[in-house]
Amino acid sequence: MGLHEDLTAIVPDGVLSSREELIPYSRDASHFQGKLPVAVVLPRTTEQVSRVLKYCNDHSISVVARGGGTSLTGASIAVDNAVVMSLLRMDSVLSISVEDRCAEVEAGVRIDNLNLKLSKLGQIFPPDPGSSIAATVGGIINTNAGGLHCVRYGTTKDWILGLEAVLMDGSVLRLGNRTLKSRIGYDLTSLIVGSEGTLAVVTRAFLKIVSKPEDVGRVLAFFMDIESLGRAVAAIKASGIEPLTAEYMDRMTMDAVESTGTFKFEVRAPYVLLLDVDGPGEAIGRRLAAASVILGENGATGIVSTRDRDEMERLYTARKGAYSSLLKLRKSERDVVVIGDIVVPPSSLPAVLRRIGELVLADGVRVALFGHIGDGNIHANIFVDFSDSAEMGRVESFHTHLAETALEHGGSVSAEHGIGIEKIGLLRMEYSSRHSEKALDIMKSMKSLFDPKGLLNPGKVFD
Amino acid sequence: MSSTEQRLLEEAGRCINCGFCEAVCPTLPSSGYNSSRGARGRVMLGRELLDSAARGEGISQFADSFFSCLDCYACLQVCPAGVNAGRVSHMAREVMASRGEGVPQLARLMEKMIMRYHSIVPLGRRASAWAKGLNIPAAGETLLYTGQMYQLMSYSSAMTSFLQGRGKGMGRAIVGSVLRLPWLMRLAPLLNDREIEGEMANSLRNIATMLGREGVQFCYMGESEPYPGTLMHDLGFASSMKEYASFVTGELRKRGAKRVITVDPHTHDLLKNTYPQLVEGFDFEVVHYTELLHPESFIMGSDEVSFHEPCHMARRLDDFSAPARLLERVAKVRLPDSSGRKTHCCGGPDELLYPDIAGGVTRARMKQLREAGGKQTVTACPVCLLNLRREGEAMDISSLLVRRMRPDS
Repeated sequence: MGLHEDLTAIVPDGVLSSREELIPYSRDASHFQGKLPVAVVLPRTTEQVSRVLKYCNDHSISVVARGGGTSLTGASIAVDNAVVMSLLRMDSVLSISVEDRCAEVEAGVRIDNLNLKLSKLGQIFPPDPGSSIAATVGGIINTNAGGLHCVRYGTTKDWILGLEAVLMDGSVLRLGNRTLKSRIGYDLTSLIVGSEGTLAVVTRAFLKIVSKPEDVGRVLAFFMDIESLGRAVAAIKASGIEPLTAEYMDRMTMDAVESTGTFKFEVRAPYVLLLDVDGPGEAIGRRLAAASVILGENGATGIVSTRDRDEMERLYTARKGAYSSLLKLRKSERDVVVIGDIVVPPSSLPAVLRRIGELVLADGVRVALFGHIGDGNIHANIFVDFSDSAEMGRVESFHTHLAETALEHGGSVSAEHGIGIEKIGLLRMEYSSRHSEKALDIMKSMKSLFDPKGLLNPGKVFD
Repeated sequence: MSSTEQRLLEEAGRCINCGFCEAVCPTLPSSGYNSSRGARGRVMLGRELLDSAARGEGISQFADSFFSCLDCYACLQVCPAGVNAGRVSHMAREVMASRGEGVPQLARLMEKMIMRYHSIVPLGRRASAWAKGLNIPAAGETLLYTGQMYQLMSYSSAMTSFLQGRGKGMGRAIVGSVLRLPWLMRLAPLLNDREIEGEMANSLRNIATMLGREGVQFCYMGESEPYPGTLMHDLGFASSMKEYASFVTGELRKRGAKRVITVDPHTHDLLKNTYPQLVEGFDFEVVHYTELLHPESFIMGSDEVSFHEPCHMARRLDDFSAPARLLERVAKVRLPDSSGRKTHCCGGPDELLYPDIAGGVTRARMKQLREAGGKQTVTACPVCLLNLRREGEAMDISSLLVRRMRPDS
């Protein structure tokens, strides 16, 4: 029998192989064009996942696991003749225990759908990437995604108690469990988190959940220069206010957001800071006032606060869609947006942001800046036309300078989007700068232990 | 490249594959998560269709992707770049229709029926049976335009099963026969569901009664009232639709109408948003009947209902809220999580060509409506009503409103 028939025998009604059905799986949210998969398989059970992987392993066929297809680094597309395995049919929330502070879910559950269910019990799963409407549990585990709430809650790795994951030879691993503590040898759960689908296919997870904030208020503070904004965030933290969210956008990003009609900023300024504070309802007004005073003392030229849920929701949605909104500002359809995803210690932010401003001018690139300023994560969104070799050169130069800047200030080249195809060279640069090339060798050795034939998501993370 | 192809290229060209649209597209889960049946896949395939056409290759292989789109515009609500995958699908269908490639036989049959009989089914006197005894004048400045939508519902289910046959081969043979011999459709009344016919007639009488009690004077075209062409427009027959819209407009003018009262969201959306683009000088005031009913004319009852907001009202008419406002006057309203601009389609638009996908969408929506907690489900669209009923109890808003209208109104 052929590949299609063999896979269909394992997953009846769950194999796609016509060209028009495969095309949508050749792209994710990155600017990379992947190869057309040889087939797409949509399993419903862990057993089917296991049998498909074993079949592909036996026949030396690469497999790329895919959730919501929202990777920004090309992690969920094929670079060779691969079977794409979509986990979207495995979309059940199996159990939620408020008492245990745990939710057991399948890998294909979308983050917003999970949080809708949890919110009815007064709970949340805190990792909150901008793509949470589409991103899946399996996807954010493999990316170790961050998001808007990292300043308070950290990244995905902090919220994974255990995993069910399937190796390329079909073995099913059950790692960790539903308890908040678990010391059972090497922490393989943490190893798989952030492995970008190169070690195993995650099919199920025990997630840590937490009570949702009782009430939230938001301050929008406008600044004339980025350094003042950075200082203001530092002053807020020093005051003892622990923001739930601390995001910033530059003028170009604000223009992009406004062009979609989702939100209109009341004040026109070069930079805006979005600061959320939470707490009991009766305390929110007081905290908003305190934050506004500090922001004013640190150079904010305009301050608007709100507790209106609809307005906050609109702004939150607009911020989450900022990257996509930027596409409206492309000069031509050939333009793509390459996203820098560096992170630096928050104390370095004013210096780093000033340096980025200098680099933009020196390298002659068109860049929109936004990011999670509360945790030092800066997204430099660079417009580039890949058919323009001169522009390509300028963008590559800027991208490298950006990474060097992060490393010079004790930061990293990748904060939350992962390595994928895009940052393979930058990953090498970071370990090289630390004189720790051996770390990469160890990672490759681990990869060969999990996947001896190198068939799981090849061409990602390493060369 | 035609103007439609250019607009398709422009719309699809703005997409950056973020996938947000796919997460809210009702046909994606209902198709077993086949991305070519989801919003993002459709936008990508829109570009592929144009590339294939430019290379002189066939484009019929893309038909299932675009004809299975519900045109519900859920995608547009979440796209940060403002791309409308529904419009992409619509334009792709127009490209296929204009090139005569990939259009399902059943769709061509619908076009033929509408152009020939001014309806999907030649209803004859059955179209106006609901108005018997109401003595509604045949001409006047304010015209009640039913668009035959309620009347057609008693044929929809049986006719869909009949035309699709008991297997693909049988379905094709039946549709092929009717395409060659259109008069065969005159036999369609044999497929009428009398019970639904009676219920739909009651809904229209309720609407007429309420308008009358509000003092609205109106006329009705009776059995000569043409279907507005909704399905033909939705299926992408742009050229026929332009001609047909001119015909319908002429019929409205013949009656001396200046204001048109619609009773269903599909007709309302078409007359409000599409006809002005198709017919030069289309200057009728178009109002939905619920806009003419005063909230103070109604009293609160003990009903507790889950309200299904039709896509054509909540999204395509920019938060059209007149029915919801009235409903809140007469009953305790429970809204599902997906409400307002985030409402979820009933699956109706796929019923004819993709009944399996339609069924999945309907099941998903009915589950949401049950979880909302109302004791019964209410909607304001005959298409939604019949689709939701496949999965449980549902009633038309007019039935509830007429019971709660003040006696002195």
